[in-house]
Amino acid sequence: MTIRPDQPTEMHSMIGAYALDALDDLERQSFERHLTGCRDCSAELVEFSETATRLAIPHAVAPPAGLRERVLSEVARTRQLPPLAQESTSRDRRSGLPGQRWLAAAASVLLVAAVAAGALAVQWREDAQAARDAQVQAVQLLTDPDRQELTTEFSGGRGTIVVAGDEAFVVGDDVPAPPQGQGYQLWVFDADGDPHSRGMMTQTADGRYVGLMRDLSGGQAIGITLEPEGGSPDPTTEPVLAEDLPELTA
Amino acid sequence: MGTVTRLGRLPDTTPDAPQGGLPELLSRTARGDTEAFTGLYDALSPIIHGVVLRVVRDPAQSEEVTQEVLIEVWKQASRFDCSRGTVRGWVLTMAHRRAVDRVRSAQASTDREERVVASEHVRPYDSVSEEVETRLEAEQVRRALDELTDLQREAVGLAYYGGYTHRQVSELLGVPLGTVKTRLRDGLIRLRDALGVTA
Repeated sequence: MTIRPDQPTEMHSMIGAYALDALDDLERQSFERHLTGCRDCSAELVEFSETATRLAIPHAVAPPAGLRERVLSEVARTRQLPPLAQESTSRDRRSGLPGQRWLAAAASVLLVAAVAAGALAVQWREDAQAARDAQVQAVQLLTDPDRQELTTEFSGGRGTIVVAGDEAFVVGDDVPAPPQGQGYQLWVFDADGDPHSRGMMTQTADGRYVGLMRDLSGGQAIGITLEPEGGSPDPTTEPVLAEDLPELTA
Repeated sequence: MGTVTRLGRLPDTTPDAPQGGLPELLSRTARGDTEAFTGLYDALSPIIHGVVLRVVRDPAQSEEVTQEVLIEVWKQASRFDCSRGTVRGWVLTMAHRRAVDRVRSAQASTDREERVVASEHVRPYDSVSEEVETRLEAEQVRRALDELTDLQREAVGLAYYGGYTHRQVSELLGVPLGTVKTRLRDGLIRLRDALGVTA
């Protein structure tokens, strides 16, 4: 008998392991999807999570004295995340917005397969941990049941943008390679129209250009411009792609 | 030792009291108050570092992960949802996850085998104040762990302190995965009841 991971009994039984961080990444994502629809598990999990954290208590060990200064000085140069936006009382994002072109989850299945298989060439080559985190985050985004997708023109090729929470995954298919020494830079534009860089796109093994954009709270639109490889503080060319963002859910 | 502000009852062992302690420090931190963050550091860094060290083992890497966790607390201070649990729970959940991720990405198998055999060595809490409450609570947790069956305690220990996945635990113990899942869940139920944790 094959046990599919999304059979209800199979899901419930994973709650202990989940609370103890004893699931692998894919199981964790499956269980988190299950949680969004299972009140019993959600309620039980609140108690289990708190219980699990008590296991840390008998093992308290003061860190080395030098850590305090290192942390405080890193904090001094680290931006905080803004609070999550208030629940919007205005539009229901499922019903005809300015992004009528933003559709509920549709075509990203193939993207999930590609990303999960490691085709995502990450912007964090020097940092294996960050690379793994990015890959996991991309898959989570692409499988978020509340995600919204848009397909648009991108330099003669096809651009796909998938938005979930306050993040977006951008893919360019059949887009021309940037000229030597240049790259595609990602931007989010705030309510004042000011651009904020969200990194450079990178090329995957199968020739697509991809980018994971984080911290889009408050953003009204995203855009892509050709910039020198190291990126520019502000766009220096006309966007090759520009789209208004839908209402963000986070 | 520099001047350190110690505030009343920290950490919170009961649902967050509205008048102060960690929730107050965290909400001030969310507004950019670095002094409040320093208070969080002083209150929470030992338990963060302790759990990370227990899972990661290597002191240098443990320091790195501890630092990462504290920076995440700073960055995400505004995102804490008090309806979803305590400040300490939130921070320790973050710390444990990061420690486990670090261990799994390292994949040093000989290291991991050593960890299985390592004893339940609890190192003393170095700082002087707040020690009584922490020691009392530590004792409470140890007594609660005694209420698990040996098999439950073993499975929970391998999962939580060893950072193993339930599949790895099943392989290590030579028992079916379903058995491990049951032991983990039943173990947590006993712990929860012994500690009186309620939502």
